[in-house]
Amino acid sequence: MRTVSFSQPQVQQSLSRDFVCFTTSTEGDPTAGQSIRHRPQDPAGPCIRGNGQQNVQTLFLTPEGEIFHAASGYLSPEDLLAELQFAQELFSKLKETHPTDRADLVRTSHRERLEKIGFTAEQIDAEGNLLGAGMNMQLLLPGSNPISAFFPGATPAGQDAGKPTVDPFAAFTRGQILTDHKFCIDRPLMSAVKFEKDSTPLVGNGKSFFMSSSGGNGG
Amino acid sequence: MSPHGCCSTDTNKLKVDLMKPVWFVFLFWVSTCSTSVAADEFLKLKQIQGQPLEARVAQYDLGEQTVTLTARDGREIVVAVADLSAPDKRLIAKALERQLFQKPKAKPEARPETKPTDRPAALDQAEAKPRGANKGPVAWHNNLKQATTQALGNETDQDDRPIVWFRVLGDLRGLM
Repeated sequence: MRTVSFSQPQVQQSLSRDFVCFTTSTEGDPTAGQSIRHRPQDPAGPCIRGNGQQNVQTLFLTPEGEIFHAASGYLSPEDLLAELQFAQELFSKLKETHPTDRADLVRTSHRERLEKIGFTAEQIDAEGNLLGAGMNMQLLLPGSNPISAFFPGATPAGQDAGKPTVDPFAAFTRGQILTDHKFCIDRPLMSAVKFEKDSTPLVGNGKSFFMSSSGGNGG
Repeated sequence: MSPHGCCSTDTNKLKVDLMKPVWFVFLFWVSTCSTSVAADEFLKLKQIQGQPLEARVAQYDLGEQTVTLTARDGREIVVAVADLSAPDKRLIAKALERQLFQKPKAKPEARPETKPTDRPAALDQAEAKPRGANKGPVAWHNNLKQATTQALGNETDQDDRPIVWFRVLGDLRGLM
């Protein structure tokens, strides 16, 4: 993200003009994954949105330190710009909203965004989406046809000719987007300080798929 | 059966169920980084199309769920992941993993030499621009209090700005 997304002029302009930027390392955090370290000048590896969700999270806070939006894993410049725009619009509305209604506004805005992307109310309300995209990925196993959880009526590519097929990469990304928004719906305006103490509701339990192997970074 | 026994059995079953997808999940993850991974080494595979074979992994195709192997004699053999034996799957997965995490042997020639302290302009550590500045590098705070102080508007909340919090494993300005 640093090499590709944060270096993009439009992203830089938006970050400088509209946001205050804050960064921390999750080194030592039990939720953090594992990664091969890269230097700033190293070439960027190929990533899809959501990759490295345990190692990279982009969160949006109010000046009071309340989380009102989250996007985990790698974000391309276009995705990052879209998230910045969504965050900016939601923040503007928050400023105009009575304090007692702010949490509801966050819930509603995230729900509406998910519905706009194509998630059904059933999918949004389903249990178990807070396990992280990694766990959601298990829904993508061939044979179980859980793709329908994200794409109603569809089957994994090549599994059932004649039915709509889906790209599992897209399904992974959608799973991550669902996880991020569900986090904000279920925990609107969570304190950043509290989140720093326990980020498992968004990030998961810190177990990478390979346990001892290196995971993707997304950074 | 007691409720305890029932839960225990369910938990064990769940654990087994969760272990099953490791192979697929690994390959899925690998393929998100590279759908075409060439491994240098020849693997002693036990049963490929009914017989042992020494071959290297030329490609993994996520969509087709196949692995393309290149035998010592140059033959290319495409095998469905589902047809691989468990030991062969492990060997191939390890080969893909090694290849994926192998450090580049040499620096790309076209890439200009940079000092270790260099970093993208976006990460310039210059002082924060005054409120309202809309050009120049991004200033990253590493202290939440500093960030919240700056995010609060000077006079009215109309001047307030949201905070972007980038949590990353490592250092945004260094190794990450």
